[in-house]
This record gives sequence, structure tokens and C-alpha cells, in this order.
Amino acid sequence: MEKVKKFNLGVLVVAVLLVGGLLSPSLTTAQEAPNQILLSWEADTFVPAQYLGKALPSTGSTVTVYAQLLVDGRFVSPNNYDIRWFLNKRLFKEGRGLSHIGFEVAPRESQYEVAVLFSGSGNRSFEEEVVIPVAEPLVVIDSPHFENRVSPENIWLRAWPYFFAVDGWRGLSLSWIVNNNLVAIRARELLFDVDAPLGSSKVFPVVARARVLSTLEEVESDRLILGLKSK
Amino acid sequence: MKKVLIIVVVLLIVALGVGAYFYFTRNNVEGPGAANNGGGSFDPGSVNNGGATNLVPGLQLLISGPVAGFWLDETGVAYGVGESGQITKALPDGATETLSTQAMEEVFFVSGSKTGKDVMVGFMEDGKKSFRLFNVLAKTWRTLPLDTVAAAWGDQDDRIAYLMKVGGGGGLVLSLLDVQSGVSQSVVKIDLADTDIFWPAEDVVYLVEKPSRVVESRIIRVDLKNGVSQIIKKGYGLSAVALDRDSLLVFSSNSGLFTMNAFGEVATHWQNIVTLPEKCDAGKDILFCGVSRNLSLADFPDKYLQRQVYSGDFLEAGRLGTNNSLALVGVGLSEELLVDVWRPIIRGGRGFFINRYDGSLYSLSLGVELNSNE
Repeated sequence: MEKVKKFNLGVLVVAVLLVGGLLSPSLTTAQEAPNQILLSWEADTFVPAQYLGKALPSTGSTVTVYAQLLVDGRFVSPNNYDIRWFLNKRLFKEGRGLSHIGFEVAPRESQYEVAVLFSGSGNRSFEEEVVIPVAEPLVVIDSPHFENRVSPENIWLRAWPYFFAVDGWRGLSLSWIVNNNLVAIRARELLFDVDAPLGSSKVFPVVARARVLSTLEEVESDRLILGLKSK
Repeated sequence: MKKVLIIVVVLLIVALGVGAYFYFTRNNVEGPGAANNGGGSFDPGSVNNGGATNLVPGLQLLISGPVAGFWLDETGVAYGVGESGQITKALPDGATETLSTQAMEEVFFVSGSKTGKDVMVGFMEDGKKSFRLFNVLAKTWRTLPLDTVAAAWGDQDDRIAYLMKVGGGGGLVLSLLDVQSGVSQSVVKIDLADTDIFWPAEDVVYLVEKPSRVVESRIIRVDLKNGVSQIIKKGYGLSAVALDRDSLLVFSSNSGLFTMNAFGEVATHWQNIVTLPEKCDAGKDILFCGVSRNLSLADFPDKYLQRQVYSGDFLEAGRLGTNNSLALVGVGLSEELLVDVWRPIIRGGRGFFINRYDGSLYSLSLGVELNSNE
């Protein structure tokens, strides 16, 4: 009987501890900052300055990856840690306090898996990994016309290049093809009337083409189909 | 024996229940799940962009585009910065006054101070980001420290928080600038990249990594007083603006628009509202947004920010925290004007916004008294 009582008491204690164990992290996570690594990265691909989104890497661009250790809510210097970097699961670089790495995006890579391991004194170690997607360079035709319906005069379009491995606008040349005719070169914007080159066509395709001046590689936008508004 | 077993079972049930609750409410990591298409169909009706001000009662064209950004002073007067740097004041009679013709390339950032007497302008100079400060009264320019990549006003006119890029892959330094004296104070160096900054209260800064649907990014809260920093949210397509010290308006590809507190806990979630925080303005208890009627969540933020698509918006407003729906404000605007709202500000019952379709700055009477700066 005494043994049963002790057993019951034991079960009760375990249950209480279990409840406490489950509750306590929930109640404290809001205030406590767990130890972790912030793994962030940037690509040196060109995007227009107004673009608020993330610049994604493309072939030939350089990606820099940063590892910031956050211990007890404080940004901690990496200098007291041996840091090992892995690229696609293979050791890439290692060194004391090596808090960032850079690598060039190779052709035909669709993504990179980057992992980092911090080892400090007293067996304190932290690890984190991130997947970095590789994008294709992109040319977007900016057509601020509802349903791409336009009046025949003063049709205005802009071309925006994204994710090119070039050093700004000067590394690119943009040209415009309207109804399969090259109508403008070295022009970020296009202002045109449809009467002159197009006759009475009611629907006509527009393509913007970006040429990388250093390699002469060309990327075309999707075909934009403009239609004339009915009067 | 039975009593003890009953107690144990009850405790276990409670533990599992509470554990599950906290797991689901506090686990803020989001996956790149399927987008929720809350856009609905888009019947433009008699869309007319040219001469829109004549069609819509209460709508005023303040500054003709392209306007890169704008701000208001304490009296509600609007000022705009053109894409090439020209600064224009909108006069009450509908005319405009040019305050600066300083040429700048590719203006990408405009932020007025609390009183509106100063404005920060970000632009490209020799292929690098550069920031300048313009004083409206003196009409003078000052340059922010070199290698600044992001900046934010504090809750007063006298200080600016900024992120400076350290050369050679050295990450970012968070610093505070005293505008009067020009003295900067470094707060912390962080190995971080591609980050925006918000400074809603004296002791709190939020760092928000740049968004993409295909990249998981984070929102980090930095307590300037005790030096404690915390990742409060992770997600794909994560985009945010700080509303005040302890709350943010957030978009994620997975969830759409919601408000959350400083611990990443969701306060109000608008599941069927397709928009971005940058298309909204919020005050103590109101939210005003341009809500898309032709796009889906999948178009945000990448395609929209890349200008692959435009958003034909309804203008909607609601009270924060009261329920999860917003109500249309003003006139039946959608039938008469094509607007793609960008960075709206609500002041004195009027909504000010840039219309991305034509790049111009408009103001619209909302028919109700709403103020986001109260």
C-alpha cells in the first residue's frame, strides 16, 4: 500500500513537472531571446534603385553571406569562435572569427545551400543554414495602362532590368521591338504613337531587350500585347 | 488511487492543450505555402485615369507625377520629391511651388520628419546609395554620412537612426545621428545585409530584411536601452512597417496582411485583403489601405514591386482590433478612378497617396474624420 502511494506520488510529481516543462517555455519565450545565428546574404546583381525587394543572385554574380551570432539577446563578436562554412554540404572556408564569405555563382546552379558552424570555448557551438535561390536575369516592361489598352498617341512604356550580373545601368543596353520592328536602342523608356509604324493594327506586341555590354548576352522580356482602346 | 490518476490525466490534458496552443500561436516561422487569392474579379467599369479629379468628388491632384515620395507638414500641406530630385510644395489653391531643383538620380527614398520641416531623400550617386537632408524653411541641403544604406526618423525631428555599410564585407553599423549637432553615435555593428530600418520609439529600432517570395527573411527588434535584440518574425515575402513602439503592420506571402506585437504575436489578421504595408497607413486604431481587386497574394511582393503588375485598388479603411474587415470609405471610387495606392497618409479626414499608374500625388476626402498621426 505504501509502495502504491509512493508510486502515485511519483507519477503526480512527474506530471506536474511535465506540465511545468511544457508551460514554462511558452510563458518565457516572449521575453527571452534564444541563442541563434542570423545568417543573411546579399547578391551584387543589379536591380533598379526603386526596387524594394531582395536582389537575387544570378550566374556570374557574387554572393556575400554574413553570420551574426546572437547570444542572450546580444550581438556577439565572432572573434572568439572557430567558424566553418559549408557550401552545398562541402567545407568551403574556415577560420577564427570568419563571419562572412563570398562566392561567385556558377552556371547552371539553381540554388546554394550555405551552412555555418560556430565553435567556441566550453563546447558552445551554434549552427545555421540557409538556401539561396539563383534567379535568371529578368527584363520587365512597365506598362501603366489598365489591361494594356492604350490610346494611339503618346504610348509610354519603361523597361526595368533585374538580377543582371552587371555594375549598374551602364553595363546594359536596352532596346525596343514593336510589332517585330526594332524601334529604339539604348533607351530605358519608349514613347511612341502607333499610327506611324503600325498602320491600323489594333493589337501589337512589344518586347524589351537587354544586352549585357561586357558579354553581349541578351535577355528579352515577355511579349507585352498592347491593344488600342475603342474610341 | 483513482483520484490521483484522474488528477494526472487532467494535468496531462491541460499540458498538451496549453502546449499545443502556445506552439501554434508563438511559432512564427512561416513556410512558402500556397497563396491565398483574396483578390476577386475586377470589373473596371468606366475606368478613366486622365482627368480623374473631375470625375471623383473630393479628389484633388496635388502634384503631377512622377513623384517618388511625399510628406506632410503639421498643417497638412503636402510636399513631393520627383524621381529626379525636384522638391515641390502643393499650395492650397491647387498651384505648386518649387522648393529645390537639386538634380538627383533615381530617387528611391523620401521620408519627412515628424513636423515636416525636414525631409530625408535617398538617391543614387555614382552607382551608390546616398542620402541627403533638406530643410524646408531654410531650403538647404545636408549630406548624411557616406555609405548610409537605410535611414529612419526618430519620433522627434532631432534624431535619425541609420545603417552604414562597412567596406570589405564588414556588415552594417547601426548609428544614431543628432540632426542639430551633426554628431553620430555608433550603437552596434551587425553582420547583416539588405536591411531596412524603422525607429518608432526612442528606445526601439526594428530591422527588416528585404523581401522576396522565394527567400525567408526576418524582422529584428533592437532595444536601444538594454541592448537586447530579438528575431520576432520569420517568413517568406515578409514586408513590414512599424506602427509604434510595440506593433507592426506586416505582410507575408503565406498570411497576407496582419498586425503583430513586439513579440511577433498576431493581433489582427485580414485574410482576404490583398495589399502590402506600403499601401496602407495606420494610426492608433485605424487602418487605411489601397486593397487590390485584380491581383492575388502571389503577385506580392515580387511582381508588384518589380512593376510587372499594377494593382487596381479599392480604398478601404477600418478600425484596428475591432474586427477583421475593412469598409470602403469615401465615394464609390473604384468605378470612376483607376488608382494603385502607394504610401498613403491619412490626415484630417483626407487620404494622401501616390497613384502608381500616373505617379502623381492625390488627396481624397474620406468622408470620415480619420487621423493616422494621433
